[in-house]
Amino acid sequence: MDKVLIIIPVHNEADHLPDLLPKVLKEAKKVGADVVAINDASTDDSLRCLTSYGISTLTHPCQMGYGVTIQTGYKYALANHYDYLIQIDGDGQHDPRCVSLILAKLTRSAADVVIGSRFMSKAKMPFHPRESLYHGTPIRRIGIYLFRFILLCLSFRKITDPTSGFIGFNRRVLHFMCGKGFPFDYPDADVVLTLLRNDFALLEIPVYMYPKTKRYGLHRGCKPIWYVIKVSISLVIAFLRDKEVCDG
Amino acid sequence: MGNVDMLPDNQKIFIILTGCLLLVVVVELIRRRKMLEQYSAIWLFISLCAVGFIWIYPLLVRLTHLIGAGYTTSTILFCGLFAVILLTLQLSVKISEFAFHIKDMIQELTLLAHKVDQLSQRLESLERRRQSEPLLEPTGQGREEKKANSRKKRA
Repeated sequence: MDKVLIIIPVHNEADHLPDLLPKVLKEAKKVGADVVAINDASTDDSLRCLTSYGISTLTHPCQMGYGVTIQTGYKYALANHYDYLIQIDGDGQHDPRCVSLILAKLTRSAADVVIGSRFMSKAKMPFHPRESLYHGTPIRRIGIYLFRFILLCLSFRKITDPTSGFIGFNRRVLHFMCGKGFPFDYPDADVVLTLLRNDFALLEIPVYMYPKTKRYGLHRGCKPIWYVIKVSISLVIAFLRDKEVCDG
Repeated sequence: MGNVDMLPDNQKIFIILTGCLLLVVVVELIRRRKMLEQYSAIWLFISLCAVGFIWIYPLLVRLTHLIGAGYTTSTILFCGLFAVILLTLQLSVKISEFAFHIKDMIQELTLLAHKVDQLSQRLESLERRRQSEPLLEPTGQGREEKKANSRKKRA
């Protein structure tokens, strides 16, 4: 049987975790997955909350940022021989019920990577959203449309939600993500382009995403304008890079 | 080359003295292990250029003529600025390299700490189980002796 891991990157999410964790654990039980949280040196009660739910937690000794946090999870999955990894944010934005949809697509299709898109049609979703859906702040939406356009120009592929952090992939991609090719400062649409350029099969499925109740967390430090500039530069650089060797 | 001005002697002496001072400071920093040799190369080059200014002066005049600058002082300023840019670039590369190393070390540390936690928890549970289990019955000769003792007591 395939080993599946759900990783939750966490930084000061004590307010959201009591609501999120039972749902993630329920879903993990349903799909037979293990759950690991990566605590990026939270200063609030996040760690206590995670341990109270019995979730195995990796804790960074100092704050390293979102990219390093998720890559620590990837390295854990690789070291513990997991076949599939699904990533869900700790801020409660992603609907944990969609984990089974991502996993089903990963295991039953030829896709190496399945991206949860907030912009795809939800007509065929097997369940209804819990609350009103989130499509990004105006600046973020401008960024998403810009990245979508750049990706289309550079890879000739239409990716509706290139900034989505709700993503699942197989062990082959896991090997690649643990290498030097992973942009650990702020992984975003550039990762999608890097994966496309390295011939990984990408697929998008509709997922539910909800608005954050508080504007903080791992994305807090990134000023929206700097974020758009940085990712645009990274996209062009990712296009100019050679294909990376993947031994996975 | 004729229209390029010549530096007065006191300016040349000042540049050479500054170069000597920089050279001494750089060598002393390396000697005290406050600077690694690999990062001192560009500083040594700058200070040696300043020390050997008398000998490279004709080259400087030719360079001034080549780039179309009006004064040799402008060329010196340009060369200094260029050296600083190179230095900053080298430092940026080094910082990025260190950022990669720090990231890898933090991740390795995090994974190892988690493994240590798991092992110590397992060890604790084994210890607890060992303490809660009843002692094993003695076997062989020991058991026979125990039986004999209990028989004696009853008698």
